[in-house]
Amino acid sequence: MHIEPNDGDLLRRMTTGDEAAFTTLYKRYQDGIYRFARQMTGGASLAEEVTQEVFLTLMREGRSFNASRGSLRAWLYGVARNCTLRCLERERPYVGLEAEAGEENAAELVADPCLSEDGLAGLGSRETVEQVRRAVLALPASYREVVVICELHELGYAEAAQILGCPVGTVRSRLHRARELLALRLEALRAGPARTVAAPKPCHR
Amino acid sequence: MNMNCDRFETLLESLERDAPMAADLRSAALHHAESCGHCRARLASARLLRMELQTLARDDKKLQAPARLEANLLSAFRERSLRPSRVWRSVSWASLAAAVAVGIWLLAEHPWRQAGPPPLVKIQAARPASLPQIAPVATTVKTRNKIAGKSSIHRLSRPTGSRTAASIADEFIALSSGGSWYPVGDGMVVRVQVPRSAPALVGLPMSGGDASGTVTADVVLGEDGVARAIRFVQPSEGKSRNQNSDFAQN
Repeated sequence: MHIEPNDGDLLRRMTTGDEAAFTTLYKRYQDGIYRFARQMTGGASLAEEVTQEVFLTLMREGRSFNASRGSLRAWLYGVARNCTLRCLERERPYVGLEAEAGEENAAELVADPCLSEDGLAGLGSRETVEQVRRAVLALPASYREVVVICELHELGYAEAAQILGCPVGTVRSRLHRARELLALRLEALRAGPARTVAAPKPCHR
Repeated sequence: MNMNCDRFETLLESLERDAPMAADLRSAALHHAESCGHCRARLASARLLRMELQTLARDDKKLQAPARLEANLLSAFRERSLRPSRVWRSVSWASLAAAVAVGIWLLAEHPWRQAGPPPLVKIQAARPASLPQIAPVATTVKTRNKIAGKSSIHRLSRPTGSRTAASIADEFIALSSGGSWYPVGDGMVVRVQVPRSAPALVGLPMSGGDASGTVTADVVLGEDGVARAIRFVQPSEGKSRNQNSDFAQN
Protein backbone atom coordinates (compact mmCIF):
# COMPACT_ATOMS: atom_id res chain seq x y z
CA MET A 1 0.00 0.00 0.00
CA HIS A 2 1.35 3.39 -1.00
CA ILE A 3 1.44 5.93 1.81
CA GLU A 4 1.48 9.59 0.86
CA PRO A 5 4.38 11.41 2.48
CA ASN A 6 3.27 14.07 4.92
CA ASP A 7 3.90 17.76 4.44
CA GLY A 8 6.67 17.88 7.03
CA ASP A 9 8.70 15.17 5.31
CA LEU A 10 8.19 16.73 1.91
CA LEU A 11 9.19 20.14 3.20
CA ARG A 12 12.36 18.77 4.77
CA ARG A 13 13.27 17.02 1.55
CA MET A 14 12.42 20.09 -0.48
CA THR A 15 14.75 22.28 1.55
CA THR A 16 17.60 19.91 0.73
CA GLY A 17 16.95 20.37 -2.98
CA ASP A 18 14.65 17.40 -3.63
CA GLU A 19 12.73 18.44 -6.73
CA ALA A 20 10.25 15.56 -6.49
CA ALA A 21 9.28 16.72 -3.00
CA PHE A 22 8.66 20.24 -4.26
CA THR A 23 6.61 18.91 -7.17
CA THR A 24 4.49 16.83 -4.81
CA LEU A 25 3.82 19.83 -2.59
CA TYR A 26 2.99 21.92 -5.62
CA LYS A 27 0.54 19.37 -6.98
CA ARG A 28 -1.01 18.97 -3.55
CA TYR A 29 -1.75 22.65 -3.02
CA GLN A 30 -1.63 24.49 -6.32
CA ASP A 31 -5.29 24.05 -7.15
CA GLY A 32 -6.50 25.34 -3.79
CA ILE A 33 -4.12 28.29 -3.84
CA TYR A 34 -4.94 29.15 -7.44
CA ARG A 35 -8.68 28.91 -6.81
CA PHE A 36 -8.38 31.03 -3.68
CA ALA A 37 -6.54 33.74 -5.59
CA ARG A 38 -8.93 33.51 -8.52
CA GLN A 39 -11.97 33.75 -6.27
CA MET A 40 -10.47 36.65 -4.40
CA THR A 41 -9.29 38.64 -7.42
CA GLY A 42 -11.64 37.46 -10.15
CA GLY A 43 -8.76 37.41 -12.62
CA ALA A 44 -6.77 34.52 -14.06
CA SER A 45 -3.58 36.52 -14.53
CA LEU A 46 -3.58 37.83 -10.97
CA ALA A 47 -4.34 34.35 -9.66
CA GLU A 48 -1.39 32.98 -11.60
CA GLU A 49 0.85 35.70 -10.26
CA VAL A 50 -0.25 35.00 -6.69
CA THR A 51 0.21 31.25 -7.09
CA GLN A 52 3.69 31.74 -8.44
CA GLU A 53 4.61 34.04 -5.59
CA VAL A 54 3.27 31.59 -3.02
CA PHE A 55 5.45 28.74 -4.26
CA LEU A 56 8.48 30.95 -4.70
CA THR A 57 7.99 31.97 -1.08
CA LEU A 58 7.82 28.30 -0.18
CA MET A 59 11.19 27.78 -1.87
CA ARG A 60 12.73 30.78 -0.15
CA GLU A 61 11.20 30.53 3.29
CA GLY A 62 9.96 26.97 3.58
CA ARG A 63 12.80 26.30 6.00
CA SER A 64 11.30 28.80 8.44
CA PHE A 65 7.88 27.12 8.49
CA ASN A 66 6.94 26.15 12.04
CA ALA A 67 4.52 23.23 12.19
CA SER A 68 3.65 23.99 15.81
CA ARG A 69 1.94 27.19 14.67
CA GLY A 70 -0.35 25.58 12.14
CA SER A 71 -0.57 23.41 9.06
CA LEU A 72 1.44 23.96 5.92
CA ARG A 73 -1.84 24.44 4.08
CA ALA A 74 -2.78 27.30 6.41
CA TRP A 75 0.69 28.79 5.97
CA LEU A 76 0.42 28.65 2.18
CA TYR A 77 -3.06 30.12 2.22
CA GLY A 78 -1.79 32.85 4.53
CA VAL A 79 0.96 33.71 2.05
CA ALA A 80 -1.60 33.62 -0.76
CA ARG A 81 -3.88 35.91 1.17
CA ASN A 82 -1.11 38.46 1.75
CA CYS A 83 -0.04 38.35 -1.90
CA THR A 84 -3.63 38.68 -3.01
CA LEU A 85 -4.27 41.72 -0.87
CA ARG A 86 -1.10 43.33 -2.18
CA CYS A 87 -2.15 42.61 -5.76
CA LEU A 88 -5.61 44.00 -5.16
CA GLU A 89 -4.18 47.12 -3.63
CA ARG A 90 -1.83 47.55 -6.56
CA GLU A 91 -4.47 46.92 -9.20
CA ARG A 92 -7.30 48.86 -7.61
CA PRO A 93 -6.72 52.13 -9.44
CA TYR A 94 -6.63 50.37 -12.82
CA VAL A 95 -9.06 47.45 -12.88
CA GLY A 96 -12.65 47.15 -11.82
CA LEU A 97 -12.85 43.74 -10.21
CA GLU A 98 -16.33 43.02 -11.41
CA ALA A 99 -15.56 44.18 -14.91
CA GLU A 100 -12.53 41.93 -15.14
CA ALA A 101 -14.27 38.97 -13.60
CA GLY A 102 -17.32 39.43 -15.78
CA GLU A 103 -15.26 39.55 -18.94
CA GLU A 104 -13.22 36.50 -18.10
CA ASN A 105 -16.16 34.44 -16.99
CA ALA A 106 -18.20 35.43 -20.04
CA ALA A 107 -15.27 34.36 -22.18
CA GLU A 108 -15.24 31.02 -20.41
CA LEU A 109 -18.96 30.66 -21.00
CA VAL A 110 -18.48 31.03 -24.71
CA ALA A 111 -15.42 28.85 -24.71
CA ASP A 112 -16.98 26.02 -22.74
CA PRO A 113 -20.70 25.67 -23.38
CA CYS A 114 -20.69 21.95 -22.74
CA LEU A 115 -20.10 22.19 -19.02
CA SER A 116 -23.75 21.62 -18.29
CA GLU A 117 -25.43 18.30 -19.00
CA ASP A 118 -28.73 19.91 -19.77
CA GLY A 119 -28.91 22.89 -22.16
CA LEU A 120 -31.37 25.41 -20.77
CA ALA A 121 -31.33 24.18 -17.20
CA GLY A 122 -27.54 24.26 -17.38
CA LEU A 123 -27.64 27.79 -18.71
CA GLY A 124 -29.87 28.77 -15.78
CA SER A 125 -27.56 27.27 -13.21
CA ARG A 126 -24.54 28.82 -14.91
CA GLU A 127 -26.21 32.17 -14.69
CA THR A 128 -26.82 31.56 -11.01
CA VAL A 129 -23.22 30.57 -10.53
CA GLU A 130 -22.06 33.75 -12.21
CA GLN A 131 -24.43 35.81 -10.08
CA VAL A 132 -23.01 34.27 -6.93
CA ARG A 133 -19.49 34.77 -8.18
CA ARG A 134 -20.16 38.44 -8.85
CA ALA A 135 -21.79 38.84 -5.48
CA VAL A 136 -18.77 37.28 -3.74
CA LEU A 137 -16.39 39.50 -5.69
CA ALA A 138 -18.40 42.56 -4.74
CA LEU A 139 -17.90 41.91 -1.03
CA PRO A 140 -15.27 43.93 0.82
CA ALA A 141 -12.01 41.95 0.92
CA SER A 142 -12.22 41.20 4.64
CA TYR A 143 -15.62 39.53 4.15
CA ARG A 144 -14.81 38.00 0.81
CA GLU A 145 -11.78 36.14 2.14
CA VAL A 146 -13.75 34.54 4.92
CA VAL A 147 -16.49 33.43 2.51
CA VAL A 148 -13.92 32.00 0.11
CA ILE A 149 -12.05 30.15 2.84
CA CYS A 150 -14.98 28.85 4.90
CA GLU A 151 -17.70 28.42 2.28
CA LEU A 152 -15.98 27.78 -1.03
CA HIS A 153 -12.95 25.90 0.31
CA GLU A 154 -14.82 24.49 3.29
CA LEU A 155 -11.94 24.95 5.73
CA GLY A 156 -12.75 24.97 9.43
CA TYR A 157 -12.96 28.10 11.52
CA ALA A 158 -9.76 27.28 13.39
CA GLU A 159 -7.74 26.94 10.19
CA ALA A 160 -9.38 30.06 8.78
CA ALA A 161 -8.31 31.90 11.92
CA GLN A 162 -4.70 30.75 11.36
CA ILE A 163 -4.81 31.92 7.75
CA LEU A 164 -6.31 35.28 8.58
CA GLY A 165 -4.34 35.77 11.76
CA CYS A 166 -7.36 36.55 13.89
CA PRO A 167 -9.39 34.83 16.63
CA VAL A 168 -11.96 32.19 15.73
CA GLY A 169 -14.70 34.46 17.06
CA THR A 170 -13.74 37.10 14.53
CA VAL A 171 -13.97 34.54 11.74
CA ARG A 172 -17.47 33.59 12.89
CA SER A 173 -18.73 37.12 13.15
CA ARG A 174 -17.21 38.16 9.81
CA LEU A 175 -18.70 35.14 8.12
CA HIS A 176 -22.10 35.88 9.61
CA ARG A 177 -21.97 39.44 8.35
CA ALA A 178 -20.59 38.38 4.98
CA ARG A 179 -23.45 35.95 4.46
CA GLU A 180 -25.97 38.66 5.24
CA LEU A 181 -24.34 40.97 2.70
CA LEU A 182 -24.24 38.19 0.12
CA ALA A 183 -27.87 37.32 0.59
CA LEU A 184 -28.86 40.96 0.17
CA ARG A 185 -26.70 41.31 -2.90
CA LEU A 186 -28.10 38.17 -4.49
CA GLU A 187 -31.65 39.24 -3.80
CA ALA A 188 -30.93 42.51 -5.54
CA LEU A 189 -29.38 40.68 -8.50
CA ARG A 190 -32.33 38.34 -8.79
CA ALA A 191 -34.76 41.22 -8.65
CA GLY A 192 -32.87 43.09 -11.40
CA PRO A 193 -33.11 42.52 -15.16
CA ALA A 194 -32.01 39.10 -16.31
CA ARG A 195 -28.39 39.01 -17.30
CA THR A 196 -27.73 38.36 -20.93
CA VAL A 197 -25.46 35.41 -21.46
CA ALA A 198 -23.44 34.55 -24.52
CA ALA A 199 -25.19 32.01 -26.70
CA PRO A 200 -23.69 28.55 -26.29
CA LYS A 201 -21.92 26.97 -29.21
CA PRO A 202 -23.03 23.52 -30.31
CA CYS A 203 -21.84 20.78 -28.09
CA HIS A 204 -19.83 18.20 -29.96
CA ARG A 205 -19.74 15.42 -27.40
CA MET B 1 -38.49 25.50 25.45
CA ASN B 2 -38.67 29.25 24.95
CA MET B 3 -37.77 30.40 21.46
CA ASN B 4 -37.84 33.88 20.03
CA CYS B 5 -36.41 35.62 16.98
CA ASP B 6 -33.13 36.59 18.70
CA ARG B 7 -32.52 33.05 19.90
CA PHE B 8 -33.46 31.73 16.48
CA GLU B 9 -30.89 34.03 14.87
CA THR B 10 -28.11 32.50 16.96
CA LEU B 11 -29.15 29.04 15.81
CA LEU B 12 -29.58 29.96 12.17
CA GLU B 13 -26.12 28.84 11.04
CA SER B 14 -26.43 25.45 12.73
CA LEU B 15 -29.93 24.99 11.31
CA GLU B 16 -29.02 25.80 7.72
CA ARG B 17 -25.93 23.59 7.89
CA ASP B 18 -27.83 20.80 9.61
CA ALA B 19 -25.10 20.85 12.22
CA PRO B 20 -25.56 18.58 15.23
CA MET B 21 -27.62 20.20 17.99
CA ALA B 22 -29.95 19.10 20.77
CA ALA B 23 -33.10 17.58 19.31
CA ASP B 24 -35.46 19.62 21.48
CA LEU B 25 -33.61 22.83 20.56
CA ARG B 26 -33.86 22.07 16.86
CA SER B 27 -37.51 21.19 17.20
CA ALA B 28 -38.26 24.42 19.06
CA ALA B 29 -36.39 26.50 16.46
CA LEU B 30 -38.18 24.89 13.53
CA HIS B 31 -41.50 25.24 15.28
CA HIS B 32 -40.73 28.95 15.76
CA ALA B 33 -39.89 29.32 12.06
CA GLU B 34 -43.25 27.85 11.12
CA SER B 35 -45.06 30.53 13.04
CA CYS B 36 -42.71 33.48 12.34
CA GLY B 37 -42.59 34.70 8.75
CA HIS B 38 -39.37 36.68 9.30
CA CYS B 39 -37.44 33.76 10.72
CA ARG B 40 -38.87 31.37 8.13
CA ALA B 41 -37.61 33.69 5.37
CA ARG B 42 -34.23 33.98 7.08
CA LEU B 43 -33.82 30.22 7.20
CA ALA B 44 -34.96 29.76 3.59
CA SER B 45 -32.60 32.51 2.44
CA ALA B 46 -29.66 31.03 4.36
CA ARG B 47 -30.30 27.56 2.91
CA LEU B 48 -30.58 28.94 -0.59
CA LEU B 49 -27.34 30.88 -0.17
CA ARG B 50 -25.59 27.78 1.06
CA MET B 51 -26.75 25.81 -1.96
CA GLU B 52 -25.62 28.54 -4.29
CA LEU B 53 -22.21 28.75 -2.68
CA GLN B 54 -21.84 24.99 -2.91
CA THR B 55 -22.72 25.17 -6.60
CA LEU B 56 -20.10 27.86 -7.12
CA ALA B 57 -17.52 25.82 -5.19
CA ARG B 58 -18.26 22.76 -7.33
CA ASP B 59 -18.07 24.82 -10.50
CA ASP B 60 -14.71 26.26 -9.49
CA LYS B 61 -13.20 22.86 -8.80
CA LYS B 62 -12.24 22.75 -12.45
CA LEU B 63 -9.97 25.77 -12.03
CA GLN B 64 -6.32 24.81 -12.22
CA ALA B 65 -3.18 26.84 -12.45
CA PRO B 66 -1.82 26.73 -16.00
CA ALA B 67 0.76 24.04 -16.73
CA ARG B 68 3.39 26.63 -17.65
CA LEU B 69 3.36 27.83 -14.06
CA GLU B 70 4.55 24.46 -12.82
CA ALA B 71 7.25 24.43 -15.46
CA ASN B 72 8.38 27.94 -14.48
CA LEU B 73 8.47 27.07 -10.80
CA LEU B 74 10.41 23.87 -11.39
CA SER B 75 12.89 25.80 -13.43
CA ALA B 76 13.22 28.32 -10.59
CA PHE B 77 13.63 25.46 -8.12
CA ARG B 78 16.43 23.90 -10.15
CA GLU B 79 18.17 27.21 -10.55
CA ARG B 80 17.88 27.84 -6.84
CA SER B 81 19.28 24.41 -6.03
CA LEU B 82 22.28 24.97 -8.26
CA ARG B 83 22.92 28.54 -7.19
CA PRO B 84 25.53 28.88 -4.45
CA SER B 85 24.25 30.02 -1.14
CA ARG B 86 24.68 33.58 0.08
CA VAL B 87 27.73 32.41 2.01
CA TRP B 88 29.41 31.11 -1.10
CA ARG B 89 28.54 34.21 -3.06
CA SER B 90 30.31 36.23 -0.43
CA VAL B 91 33.23 33.79 -0.55
CA SER B 92 33.41 34.37 -4.26
CA TRP B 93 33.69 38.11 -3.70
CA ALA B 94 36.20 37.44 -0.95
CA SER B 95 38.34 35.37 -3.29
CA LEU B 96 38.34 38.13 -5.84
CA ALA B 97 39.29 40.66 -3.21
CA ALA B 98 41.96 38.32 -1.92
CA ALA B 99 43.44 37.89 -5.36
CA VAL B 100 43.75 41.63 -5.75
CA ALA B 101 45.09 42.12 -2.23
CA VAL B 102 47.69 39.38 -2.51
CA GLY B 103 48.81 40.55 -5.91
CA ILE B 104 49.32 44.09 -4.71
CA TRP B 105 50.97 42.96 -1.52
CA LEU B 106 53.42 40.66 -3.27
CA LEU B 107 54.30 43.19 -5.90
CA ALA B 108 54.85 45.95 -3.39
CA GLU B 109 58.11 44.43 -2.09
CA HIS B 110 57.03 44.04 1.44
CA PRO B 111 59.67 44.83 4.09
CA TRP B 112 60.12 41.21 5.07
CA ARG B 113 61.85 40.59 1.76
CA GLN B 114 64.93 42.26 3.07
CA ALA B 115 64.81 40.22 6.26
CA GLY B 116 64.97 36.84 4.54
CA PRO B 117 62.31 34.33 3.67
CA PRO B 118 59.04 34.42 5.50
CA PRO B 119 57.95 31.92 8.12
CA LEU B 120 56.06 28.88 7.03
CA VAL B 121 52.67 27.98 8.35
CA LYS B 122 51.28 24.51 8.36
CA ILE B 123 47.60 24.52 7.60
CA GLN B 124 45.53 21.56 8.62
CA ALA B 125 42.68 20.33 6.49
CA ALA B 126 43.01 23.11 3.99
CA ARG B 127 42.97 21.08 0.87
CA PRO B 128 40.91 22.90 -1.73
CA ALA B 129 38.79 21.18 -4.31
CA SER B 130 39.73 21.61 -7.91
CA LEU B 131 37.91 24.59 -9.27
CA PRO B 132 38.16 26.97 -12.19
CA GLN B 133 40.19 30.13 -11.95
CA ILE B 134 39.36 32.56 -9.19
CA ALA B 135 36.58 30.42 -7.94
CA PRO B 136 35.82 30.01 -4.26
CA VAL B 137 37.27 26.89 -2.73
CA ALA B 138 34.92 25.14 -0.39
CA THR B 139 37.29 24.85 2.48
CA THR B 140 36.76 26.60 5.76
CA VAL B 141 39.63 26.78 8.16
CA LYS B 142 38.33 26.27 11.65
CA THR B 143 40.54 27.08 14.56
CA ARG B 144 40.10 25.92 18.07
CA ASN B 145 41.57 28.96 19.67
CA LYS B 146 40.67 32.35 18.36
CA ILE B 147 42.92 34.30 20.68
CA ALA B 148 45.39 36.39 18.76
CA GLY B 149 48.66 34.62 18.20
CA LYS B 150 47.47 31.30 19.55
CA SER B 151 45.47 29.87 16.73
CA SER B 152 46.05 26.19 16.35
CA ILE B 153 46.83 26.44 12.69
CA HIS B 154 49.74 28.80 13.24
CA ARG B 155 52.53 26.43 13.86
CA LEU B 156 55.34 28.48 12.56
CA SER B 157 58.63 27.17 11.37
CA ARG B 158 61.32 29.41 10.10
CA PRO B 159 63.48 27.58 7.59
CA THR B 160 66.81 28.99 6.68
CA GLY B 161 68.53 29.00 3.34
CA SER B 162 66.93 27.82 0.18
CA ARG B 163 64.19 25.34 0.51
CA THR B 164 63.78 22.19 -1.52
CA ALA B 165 60.58 21.24 -3.24
CA ALA B 166 59.97 18.48 -0.75
CA SER B 167 60.49 20.70 2.27
CA ILE B 168 57.88 23.17 1.20
CA ALA B 169 55.31 20.76 -0.11
CA ASP B 170 51.88 21.19 1.44
CA GLU B 171 53.01 24.23 3.37
CA PHE B 172 51.49 27.65 3.54
CA ILE B 173 53.76 30.63 3.67
CA ALA B 174 52.70 33.22 6.17
CA LEU B 175 51.98 36.68 4.84
CA SER B 176 52.88 38.55 7.97
CA SER B 177 55.83 40.64 8.91
CA GLY B 178 57.99 40.20 11.93
CA GLY B 179 56.32 36.97 12.86
CA SER B 180 53.39 38.79 14.40
CA TRP B 181 50.16 36.93 13.81
CA TYR B 182 46.53 37.76 13.85
CA PRO B 183 43.89 35.13 14.40
CA VAL B 184 42.47 33.35 11.40
CA GLY B 185 39.33 32.44 13.32
CA ASP B 186 36.70 30.98 11.03
CA GLY B 187 38.78 31.79 8.05
CA MET B 188 38.75 30.17 4.67
CA VAL B 189 41.01 29.15 1.84
CA VAL B 190 40.39 30.61 -1.56
CA ARG B 191 42.07 29.77 -4.82
CA VAL B 192 43.36 32.71 -6.82
CA GLN B 193 45.64 33.62 -9.70
CA VAL B 194 48.70 35.72 -8.95
CA PRO B 195 51.52 36.99 -11.17
CA ARG B 196 54.22 34.43 -11.96
CA SER B 197 56.74 36.62 -10.24
CA ALA B 198 54.91 36.19 -6.93
CA PRO B 199 56.61 32.95 -5.81
CA ALA B 200 60.01 34.60 -6.20
CA LEU B 201 58.88 37.40 -3.92
CA VAL B 202 58.37 34.96 -1.11
CA GLY B 203 61.71 33.29 -1.78
CA LEU B 204 60.53 30.30 -3.74
CA PRO B 205 62.12 28.93 -6.91
CA MET B 206 60.37 29.81 -10.13
CA SER B 207 59.97 27.31 -12.92
CA GLY B 208 60.54 28.24 -16.51
CA GLY B 209 57.89 29.52 -18.85
CA ASP B 210 56.22 32.75 -19.76
CA ALA B 211 57.17 35.33 -17.15
CA SER B 212 54.13 37.44 -17.90
CA GLY B 213 51.68 34.68 -16.99
CA THR B 214 50.01 33.85 -13.72
CA VAL B 215 50.25 31.01 -11.24
CA THR B 216 47.61 29.43 -9.11
CA ALA B 217 47.76 29.90 -5.37
CA ASP B 218 45.67 29.10 -2.32
CA VAL B 219 45.27 32.00 0.06
CA VAL B 220 44.22 31.70 3.69
CA LEU B 221 41.85 34.53 4.59
CA GLY B 222 41.13 35.48 8.15
CA GLU B 223 37.67 36.31 9.42
CA ASP B 224 38.45 39.94 8.68
CA GLY B 225 39.14 39.15 5.03
CA VAL B 226 42.87 39.83 5.34
CA ALA B 227 45.19 37.33 3.62
CA ARG B 228 47.18 35.35 6.21
CA ALA B 229 49.12 32.78 4.22
CA ILE B 230 49.68 31.55 0.72
CA ARG B 231 50.77 28.41 -1.04
CA PHE B 232 51.38 27.91 -4.71
CA VAL B 233 49.74 25.13 -6.58
CA GLN B 234 51.41 22.71 -8.93
CA PRO B 235 49.94 22.34 -12.40
CA SER B 236 48.83 18.82 -11.60
CA GLU B 237 47.09 19.95 -8.51
CA GLY B 238 43.89 19.92 -9.99
CA LYS B 239 44.32 16.56 -8.54
CA SER B 240 44.51 18.05 -5.13
CA ARG B 241 48.12 17.72 -4.17
CA ASN B 242 50.01 20.93 -3.91
CA GLN B 243 53.66 21.73 -3.94
CA ASN B 244 55.11 25.13 -3.76
CA SER B 245 58.12 24.11 -5.76
CA ASP B 246 56.83 23.93 -9.28
CA PHE B 247 53.91 26.20 -9.82
CA ALA B 248 50.90 25.99 -11.96
CA GLN B 249 51.19 28.32 -14.86
CA ASN B 250 48.33 29.84 -16.70
